[in-house]
Amino acid sequence: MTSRRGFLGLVGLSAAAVAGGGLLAACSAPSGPRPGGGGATAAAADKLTSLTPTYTAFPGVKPDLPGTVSTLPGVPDVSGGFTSYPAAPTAALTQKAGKGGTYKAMTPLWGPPPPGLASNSYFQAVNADIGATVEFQITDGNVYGDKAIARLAAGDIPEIMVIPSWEIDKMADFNTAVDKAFEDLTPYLQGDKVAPYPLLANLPTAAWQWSVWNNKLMAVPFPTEPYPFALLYRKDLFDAGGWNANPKTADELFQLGKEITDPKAKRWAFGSIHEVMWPTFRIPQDWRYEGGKLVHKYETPEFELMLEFMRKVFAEELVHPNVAGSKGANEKDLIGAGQILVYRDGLGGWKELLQQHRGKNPDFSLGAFPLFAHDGGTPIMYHNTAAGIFTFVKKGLPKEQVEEILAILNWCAAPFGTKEYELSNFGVEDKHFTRGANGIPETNDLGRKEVAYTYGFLGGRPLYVDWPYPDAVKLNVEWQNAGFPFIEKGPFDGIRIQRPSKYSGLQVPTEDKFTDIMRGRRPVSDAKQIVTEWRRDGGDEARDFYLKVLRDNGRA
Amino acid sequence: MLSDHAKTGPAGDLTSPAGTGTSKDVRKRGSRTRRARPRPFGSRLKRDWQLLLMALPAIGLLLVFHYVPLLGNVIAFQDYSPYVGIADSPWVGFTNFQWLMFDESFWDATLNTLTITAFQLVFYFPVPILLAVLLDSVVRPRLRLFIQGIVYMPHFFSWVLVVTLFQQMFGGAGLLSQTLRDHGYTGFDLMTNPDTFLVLVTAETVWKDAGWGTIIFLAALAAINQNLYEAAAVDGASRWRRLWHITLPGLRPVIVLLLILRLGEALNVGFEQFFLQRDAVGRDAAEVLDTFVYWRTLLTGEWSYGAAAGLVKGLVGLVLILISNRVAHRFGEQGIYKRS
Repeated sequence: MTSRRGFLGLVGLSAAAVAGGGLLAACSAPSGPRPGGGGATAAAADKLTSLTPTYTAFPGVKPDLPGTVSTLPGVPDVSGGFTSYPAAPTAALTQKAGKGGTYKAMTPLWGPPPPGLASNSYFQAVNADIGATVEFQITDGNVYGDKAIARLAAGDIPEIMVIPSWEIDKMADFNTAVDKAFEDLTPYLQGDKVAPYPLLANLPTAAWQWSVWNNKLMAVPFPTEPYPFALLYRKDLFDAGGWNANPKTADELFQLGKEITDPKAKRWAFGSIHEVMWPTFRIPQDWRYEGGKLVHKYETPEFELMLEFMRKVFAEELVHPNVAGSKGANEKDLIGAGQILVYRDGLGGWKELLQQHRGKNPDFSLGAFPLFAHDGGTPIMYHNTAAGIFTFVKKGLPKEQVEEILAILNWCAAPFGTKEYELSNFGVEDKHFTRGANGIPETNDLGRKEVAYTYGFLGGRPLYVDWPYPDAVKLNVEWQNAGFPFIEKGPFDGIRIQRPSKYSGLQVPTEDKFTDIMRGRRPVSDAKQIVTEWRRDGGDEARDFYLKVLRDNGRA
Repeated sequence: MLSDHAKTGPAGDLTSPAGTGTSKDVRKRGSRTRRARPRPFGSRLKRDWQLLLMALPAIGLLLVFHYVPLLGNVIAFQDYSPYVGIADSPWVGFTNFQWLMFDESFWDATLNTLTITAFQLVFYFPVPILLAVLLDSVVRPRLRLFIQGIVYMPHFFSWVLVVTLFQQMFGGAGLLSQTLRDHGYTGFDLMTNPDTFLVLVTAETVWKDAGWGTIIFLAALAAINQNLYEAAAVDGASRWRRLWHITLPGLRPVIVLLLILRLGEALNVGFEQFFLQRDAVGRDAAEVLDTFVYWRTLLTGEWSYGAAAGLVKGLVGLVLILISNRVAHRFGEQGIYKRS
């Protein structure tokens, strides 16, 4: 028995020692930076061109609604839209893409998950056409980053892994992770080596530039539209209710919210909207360069104004209680049920909502509020970088497998108007969809159950607004073209920056604190304190890094 | 090993004459030899090998799933990156702990955790005991089984379900609020009010787990000698007196045992329940140590920092167990272990 007593004594002793150590440590403030800070780099995108594949346009259908050609470095074009569907889609590829391999692919999905491969005739049909088996590991898009970072850290990497850029921005040390986890695609795709994959060669060069990490081409990019989000509203209900769908100031938006919100009728004006309020209050997208100094968005006076506004919105209970009250609230369902009328989403969400709800409710329609500034002045809008989502290939696969995966991605990159595109977006004719008026595919019940946006996330394709809803296409392209002149020019446009780890890691804890202010749990005056903490914990360090980037590129 | 055995072998033989191996003798001899010199390894192995064999799977399980992963805690003393590995990550000594001591959000989380534990100790811990005593007094076995079935059930619901249920009942768009509004009153939103969060989570815990918690108390109640009740009733003791002088003393060892275990778990208030509701009421009310570690580790990639926080948490838990066990001995109870 002595041994057990001895052991417990020992443990007790060491516990005391460590506790004492902690107390000792408490007496002396830690010196030097906190551990945890990976490398950060920056390169002007035009210098990365030697790594990218040679661009070869794919001769396909041209959009009937013109877009806007971007003249801003690093900002994607508005690609235009199709309001009609080609009468006879042609096959883009003449040979089978796959060689019979089987690959797992992790993709996000914002919506109900479809049945798995074994009981999903859509997956089976697409795989048969590709000539290889792609088995999807579908993960809820709202928590995708959590899952992706855990799998990266554990080294549990699927053969094909899709990671959105906004999740990468939050990850510390991604620069190291990308080298450890994923295959360098430079030897397969650089310059003319892309020839076996003509549809990948059809992706814009700017998007490829954004797929470079550590001077290696690491991913196949998914080109984006220029806008990260819009304020979407239920157009049909707005028309019926006679509400103003064109608020010109923050105050008008607030009044509109009060008019709409009627808890008795189970109707609230807003879902989450605060991210759109950032540009509305002219808060810079990241940094503002003025007078030789970099000012971060949190440090601007506009930011505090936005906090005050959002605080008012929450205090008046204009946000749906489920959105305010629990993590798992499904805004898309609430929008569909008419319990929320206005919320923030990416433009892709617009299409997903139509797919989810128009089948059951033919009147269901959405619009996007025209851009406005809080004070009625000239608005600004944020912009995406040229690639929004990346597809990575697991490191260490044999050459033939990497080539087969790239061939699969090439298949998935088939643009609008091809047979491959039709199959991947709508499934099999007369099984998952029927051709309606004007030849536009209309998804049926089986299609709604089985066809989920999965192959579409693999690789990307030139991003036209090619939805099977001509009315929505028109509204969307008009909104995008009208907003383009208001895109804010940032100090770092056109520079491919890998964010410093600590700066990335700071985002969530800091914005949690700002959320406390918006929800009325802390006074607005605490914003200064939060900024001080942000600066101390790595914000100032990041500022030095970013200033150096500006100097290195001759912009400061 | 072999030579050891050979050396101590004869001495062992001297103290145990062949052919007297009755159980009594073995015990006597055992105690004598322990005082003098340990019994040889070989003969102990020969005597106990079946027992050791039976313990082996459990030991293996502990080793593989507890002790080996424990070694991973060294990353608390490193600037660890999972992409580089433990071997190549630089060592930083106690730096992570130093930062932790100065991190107000860590202390907020610790304080929240302790507050929630203390509150639940008072408002949750007695509920299963009361419920068990009540259930025990239900005479008709069918009715009792029926009630037990109902109160056990929520234990098997996931936290997502429990939180959603509460949201649907007490949220701003919940049943209660809507009913109030339909009758001309203003609604309320219990789910986003940080001031009542403590009550909310405790209510959720009571609803979910109080029934399940009765099982162990019901077993203890069944073990109380029924003759005591009869004798007390004959002597004219009222229902309350019987409860106070027979039932509660009979439950005491179990109550104390569970109390100690609960105290040792003081810094473990559960993860999911708080993770799900943290955004609704904010960090200040709902950040507990487990969610702190999650947000610091998984979301920001500061693995070492999270490990350091986890270690501190473990150590505090250990100290609490030691203290409460000591207190239990003071009160003449067994506790969870006893020095011999």
